[in-house]
Amino acid sequence: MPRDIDIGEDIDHQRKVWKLERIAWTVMAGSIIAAVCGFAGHGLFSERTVAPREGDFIVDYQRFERYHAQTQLTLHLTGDTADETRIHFGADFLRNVEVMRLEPEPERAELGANATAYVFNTDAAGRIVVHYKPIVSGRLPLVLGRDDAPLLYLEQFVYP
Amino acid sequence: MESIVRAAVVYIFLLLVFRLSGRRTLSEMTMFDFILVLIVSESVQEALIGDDRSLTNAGLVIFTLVMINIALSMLKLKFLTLEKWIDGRPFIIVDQGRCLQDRLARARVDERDIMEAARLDHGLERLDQIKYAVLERNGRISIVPKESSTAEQGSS
Repeated sequence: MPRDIDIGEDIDHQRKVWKLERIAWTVMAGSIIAAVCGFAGHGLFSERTVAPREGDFIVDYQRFERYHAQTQLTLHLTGDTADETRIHFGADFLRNVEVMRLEPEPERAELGANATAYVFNTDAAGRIVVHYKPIVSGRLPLVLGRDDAPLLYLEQFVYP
Repeated sequence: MESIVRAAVVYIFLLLVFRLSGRRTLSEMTMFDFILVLIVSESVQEALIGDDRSLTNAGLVIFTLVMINIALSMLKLKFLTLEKWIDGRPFIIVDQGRCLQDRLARARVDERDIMEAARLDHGLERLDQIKYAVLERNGRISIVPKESSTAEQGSS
């Protein structure tokens, strides 16, 4: 029966909106689940541990990061350790992050063309933690190495 | 430049999220909705301003948000389809005292919400006194009482 009220109703359009709303809710719920699983950083699918064949170290890092959010990577030094250990970080990495703190404090830094080496005074196997903030979003090349071993090329993805 | 892009992205993001969360989300503000708004504004603040806490940056962000708002209102006037998608259209949820259940369920409105609006706006007591209830674009429920019920109200 026609209604004697003119409100500009368009129920077909409204049904489309309701459908779209349900899709959006699914996307939002999916994003939350993905974030819990670590796809937005700091979770099961984000945590990576890499042990290169050469270099006597293991690195723990996050595959996914967020712009300007403080994070850390941990290097576990293995094998025989000399008095000094040089940890090299690629220039591309250092250019795109703000290093907040190194644990332990390095003795000195040595600038190179493509990498900077932080020299740590170590007389035993130990742990070096780098606290930093990504200052770009997108792909972040994480290049690092120990002493004279070839550099290890990893990658992080930084969400805006 | 970055703060302008940030402000625009945040504006569009919030517009989409609140539009797609349904029109009832922010209309009749309950305590929980109020908490939601407070937390959302707090989370958005950092994304809008970033590390730059200067007055210049705050001014730029405000100008950007206001200009997007103005541009959007002008575009909505020019393109009615855009207006329909952004603001939605009102639709009837009670027809001659009968609830349209499918619409109520989808719009997350129940009979108690309708009767609350009927009591507040017209002092109505029963659903059968309502000719039409309309869920408006801003999420409010407007009531058109039956003529007999307005006569009842007048005589009492």
